[in-house]
Amino acid sequence: MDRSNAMPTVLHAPISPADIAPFKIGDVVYISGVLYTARDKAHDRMLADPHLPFSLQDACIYHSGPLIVKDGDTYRVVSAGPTTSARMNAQTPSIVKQGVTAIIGKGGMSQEVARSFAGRCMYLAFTGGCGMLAREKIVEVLDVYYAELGATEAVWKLKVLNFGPLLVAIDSRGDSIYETVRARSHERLLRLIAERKRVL
Amino acid sequence: MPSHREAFILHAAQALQEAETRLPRDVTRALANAAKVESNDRAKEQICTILENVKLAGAAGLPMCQDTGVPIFFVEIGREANIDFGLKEALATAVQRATDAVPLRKHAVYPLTRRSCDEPLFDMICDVSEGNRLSVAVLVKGAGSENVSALAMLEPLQDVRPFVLNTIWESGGKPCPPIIVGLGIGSTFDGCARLAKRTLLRSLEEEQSPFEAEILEQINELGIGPMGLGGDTTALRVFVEEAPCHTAMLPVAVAVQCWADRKARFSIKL
Repeated sequence: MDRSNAMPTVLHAPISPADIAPFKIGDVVYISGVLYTARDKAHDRMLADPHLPFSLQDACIYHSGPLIVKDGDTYRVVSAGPTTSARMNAQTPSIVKQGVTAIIGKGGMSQEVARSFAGRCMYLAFTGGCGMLAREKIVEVLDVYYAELGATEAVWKLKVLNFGPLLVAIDSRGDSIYETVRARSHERLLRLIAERKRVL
Repeated sequence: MPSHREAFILHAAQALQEAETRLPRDVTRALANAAKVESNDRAKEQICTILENVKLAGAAGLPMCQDTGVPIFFVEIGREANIDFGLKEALATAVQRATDAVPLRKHAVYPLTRRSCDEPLFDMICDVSEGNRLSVAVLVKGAGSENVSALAMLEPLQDVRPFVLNTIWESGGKPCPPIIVGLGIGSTFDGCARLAKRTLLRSLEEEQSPFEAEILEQINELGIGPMGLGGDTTALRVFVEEAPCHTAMLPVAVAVQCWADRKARFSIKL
């Protein structure tokens, strides 16, 4: 899989369901435009909030608890890599129903989440722990919502430029790299465990 | 005579800053070697992205990962050392200073209410040794890898491998592989967890025991790969520490560390 000569694909967020349709697992994309960070508490808040202060329609959610500090009147992004997406498995199908078209995170999400995508959302893997790389691609902090949850758990509206590289790890059809890896590694696990050793 | 407290705080805050911003050379070299031998292109790209991020963090002197974790201080107190200050209070002050200066993320909460907690978050494990030095090693643990760490009280004659391999398989991409795995085998319920965690301070370049090499090979055979996206490199290294245990027990702890194996040390004479 040599991508060195391929032109990187840049998607502009908000992203329409039609824009994500062509992408398949294994593709690499970058995102420019607006991202909303959201992790555990923000997901619960968004789902309980009858008057969302921002629109999830065609929105791109970034599973991240960024390290952001306030310098006078402005916010400074220090480090802003992805957090473990699996923690948001339970709330995600409901979030997708509200129109989210792209979710950026790390570590993958469940098959139930993959099935909920149903042609209108995809999951993009950003390399875990790469907070500095993410910082380089964040142009501006546009707003913050649910600030009372604390800086880590709040929703940050970020303007990004060429945010990535992002690997399409679960596509809009529900095909998932994680599921393939999980199934294959499970076979290997069973084989390794079967080679039972006697201790004595 | 002036108190040693201020010098200690300064060193501890510096060590924490170093750990958060500069990945130790043994880890960087292990990642670079893994990128070289990795046969899966996607996995290779993930490792190269990590190395690029590490370079950016080092150059900027900023945290490589936004999850600046929980610092765990392993303190070794020489029994002739003259400690004229409260160690726990001094470490709390050091963590607070590093939090403001680096800066580090404030993510401490009370466990049940989940409300923010303003106290500095850290753990301290003390041991007494010979001499007059106070030696400290700090290990920074993020939530992704700490959340998949596990402990089991196995049957005394059980093979430990299935529990270890199953723990790593279940964790998949969640702990940010390539991981470092510390196994504590024996001792007691809490003792094996401490053994496991302490191994993570060891250099990745130390010679492996045959058992460590065997577990490492089997973990990598799973093919989970960097970030759970498949590949040869699931773990960079496995460390095993054993301690005798009760004949009716077999405690086993699996301490998982993310690729950001953040650790630093200092030692002062008192």
